Amino acid sequence: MSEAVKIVNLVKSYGDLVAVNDVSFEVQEGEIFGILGPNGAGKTTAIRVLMGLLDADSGTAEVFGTSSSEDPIGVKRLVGYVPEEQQLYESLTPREIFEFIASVRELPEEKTSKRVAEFVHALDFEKYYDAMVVTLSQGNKQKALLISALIHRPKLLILDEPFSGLDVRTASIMKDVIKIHAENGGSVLLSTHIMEVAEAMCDRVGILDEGKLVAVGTLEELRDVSKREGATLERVFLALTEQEDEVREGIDQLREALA
Amino acid sequence: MKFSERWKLAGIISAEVRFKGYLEMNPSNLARVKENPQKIARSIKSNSRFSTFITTALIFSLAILTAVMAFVDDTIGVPQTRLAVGLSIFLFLSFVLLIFLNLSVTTGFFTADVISFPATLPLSKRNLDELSLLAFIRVFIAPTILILTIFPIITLLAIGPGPALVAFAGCAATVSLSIGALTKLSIWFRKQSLQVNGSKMNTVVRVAASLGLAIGMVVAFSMGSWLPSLIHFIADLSTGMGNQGSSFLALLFPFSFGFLASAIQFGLELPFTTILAALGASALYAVLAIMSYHGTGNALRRITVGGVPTKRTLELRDITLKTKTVLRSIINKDLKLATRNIGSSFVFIIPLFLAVFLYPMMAGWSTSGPLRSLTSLVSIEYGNFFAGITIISVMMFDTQGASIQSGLPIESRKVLNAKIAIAMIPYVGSMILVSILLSMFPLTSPLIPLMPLIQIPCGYTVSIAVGAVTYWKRGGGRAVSISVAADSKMSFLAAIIGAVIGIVPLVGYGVVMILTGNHIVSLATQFMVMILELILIRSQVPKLLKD
Repeated sequence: MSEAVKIVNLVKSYGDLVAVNDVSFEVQEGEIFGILGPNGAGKTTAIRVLMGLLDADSGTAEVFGTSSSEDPIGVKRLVGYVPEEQQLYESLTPREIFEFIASVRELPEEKTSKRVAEFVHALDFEKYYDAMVVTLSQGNKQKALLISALIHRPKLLILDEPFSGLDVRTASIMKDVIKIHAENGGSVLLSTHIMEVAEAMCDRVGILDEGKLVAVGTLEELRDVSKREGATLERVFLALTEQEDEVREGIDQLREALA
Repeated sequence: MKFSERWKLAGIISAEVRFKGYLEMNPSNLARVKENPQKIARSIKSNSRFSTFITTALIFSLAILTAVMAFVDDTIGVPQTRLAVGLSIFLFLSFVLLIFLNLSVTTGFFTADVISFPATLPLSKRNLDELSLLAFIRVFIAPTILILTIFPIITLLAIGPGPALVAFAGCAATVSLSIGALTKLSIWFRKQSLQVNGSKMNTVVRVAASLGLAIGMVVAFSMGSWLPSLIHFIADLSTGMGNQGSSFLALLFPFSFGFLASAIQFGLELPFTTILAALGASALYAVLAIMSYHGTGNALRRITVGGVPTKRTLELRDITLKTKTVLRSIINKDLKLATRNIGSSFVFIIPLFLAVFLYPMMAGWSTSGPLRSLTSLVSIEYGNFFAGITIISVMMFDTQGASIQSGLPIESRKVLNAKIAIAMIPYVGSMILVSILLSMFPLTSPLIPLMPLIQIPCGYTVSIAVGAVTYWKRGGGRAVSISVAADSKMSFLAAIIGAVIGIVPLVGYGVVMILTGNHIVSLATQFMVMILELILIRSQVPKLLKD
């Protein structure tokens, strides 16, 4: 099995703040890999370096052997990317956005239309296809972003916090899309701070905390590392990021405040 | 809730509006805001200061110019007409300026969703209305304070407390009424720009609305060059129409306040009917201003909490996608974005803006003899200055679509080429208009109108240079979008680069003209220098860009 993503000794700083500190991990082909971490842990920065949107201070990032720093265009051809922020062209309609993407990616008109039609029907998106993006709900914007990322049959899907603020139905659709993509041999790299999602979906996870990769492996492997047998991923995460005591104290204080 | 508390809370909300507005206009900062919020905050502060400086300078200069004409210029009618017309024109300008300077900020206010949080606090509906309005006012507090103070203070010092008090009341009423009109206009425009039903008529309405509002902005910004003629015209009109005419004028906003101030200063030197009309109409407008103050707060709260209602098409036409070449698809996308946003559509009326600005200049210079090539040089240089801003403005279109743009395999050079193609439209238009304008006046040589036409390819040189430097400075060479409004420093730099690069062929023309006095040789030199500069800059651009 070859590596879909390979990140080696990656360092990225913003002034004095080291956002990503000597991080290394791989995502195998056909694997769903989750990067977990609290807000500000460096997940988005690592993904943006992998996408070639930011320059690393040191270290390397590759997608299917293509270097993110040397050939970012090549990387973007292979990847379907859903960023955390929903910054779509608000005054365009999804139809106009998909046409723009299909043109830029130089996709065949007939095949792409058929593929988009299938997505639109499957995601119950017909009503919003010709509505201006600014009038869409957050869930429908996320659907538009998802179709945009899948339009070219990417080998790797990178999803940055894909479940933030989604309603139950859209979140469920999103989970199905990820699973089907992996079942068809595609790879998925997703960042999230929702432990249940990662536990249910990811083959392996990497835990980032304050820019450092604290642990990486399957849930079983992480349980072993954290010495929390049978624990949920949430418990394992808190143990590995040394937040258990902090959370316990917080809950005690909350109990007093709410009493 | 005390007024001071409401004012303080409104300050927090308006700071949030600025913050969200800045992030919305510069989506590339969204990822950085988590890691380096201090830098973003500093950036907002410095840009906000720069914008405030520009607006302040504009209002300050207009107030001084109007006051000088009203209180000092003896060539305009009698003193009572001068005071009435001077104050009225200032109020009118303030009304127009407040609307058009803040139109784009106002539409941003609706999307900022900043009243939602205070709406959850135990505040009455009336408190929320007032909070919305105060926050709204605080977003553009600097021009509001200037309008409320500068002219009344000058009036106080130049004439006395009575007219100064009326001037203050007139300014307050103007601010309130213009904010009311601004809100209604913004809501209407937002409705128009959000509705897409695929029909040609819908597109025509949207484009017309964008261009109409953009032209309004041009008129507002170029008021300074028309002000003297406008004051003379109104003063002559008022005198020429006699007593009945001035009484009729005194019924209209904002002339009622002007005539009331004049009546207080000069008493019965004004016709009694005019005084009566001014007094009644001013009282009426004051009441309307108070109603507008309350009504605007209510409208703002409803809009900020509930959004702008739009008719949305629910019929699916067909799903078939139509693809284009990469370059054409970027241009097509940018043209669509341009016609659905006031700020964006502004770039297409730059030629008109130049014409409005240059015509009075050429007319003034032509009074002392036929126009020389210097007039053409100066006019073209203004065009170059705007060319730098144009390319930045076209780059701004992508601020909305960062999530799409960041995942697409587009080379920075291709993005830049598409932006240049669009930026060339207003530059070509500007140069043709300058040529036509020059042809309308007596010239020392019939070849002078050829200068702007020969300069046309320089639009490409300016655009490619400014675009590449912007990508280099703001994105480390990657194609990024920046906002003219939120990144004033870069916009200023772009204008300077445009002016410097654009002047090189003109210097070539000037030097050869001094040496030979021959227009044909000078024009040939201008062309040659321009081509050399284009080749040189084009060869340097890849060094600045990165994918």
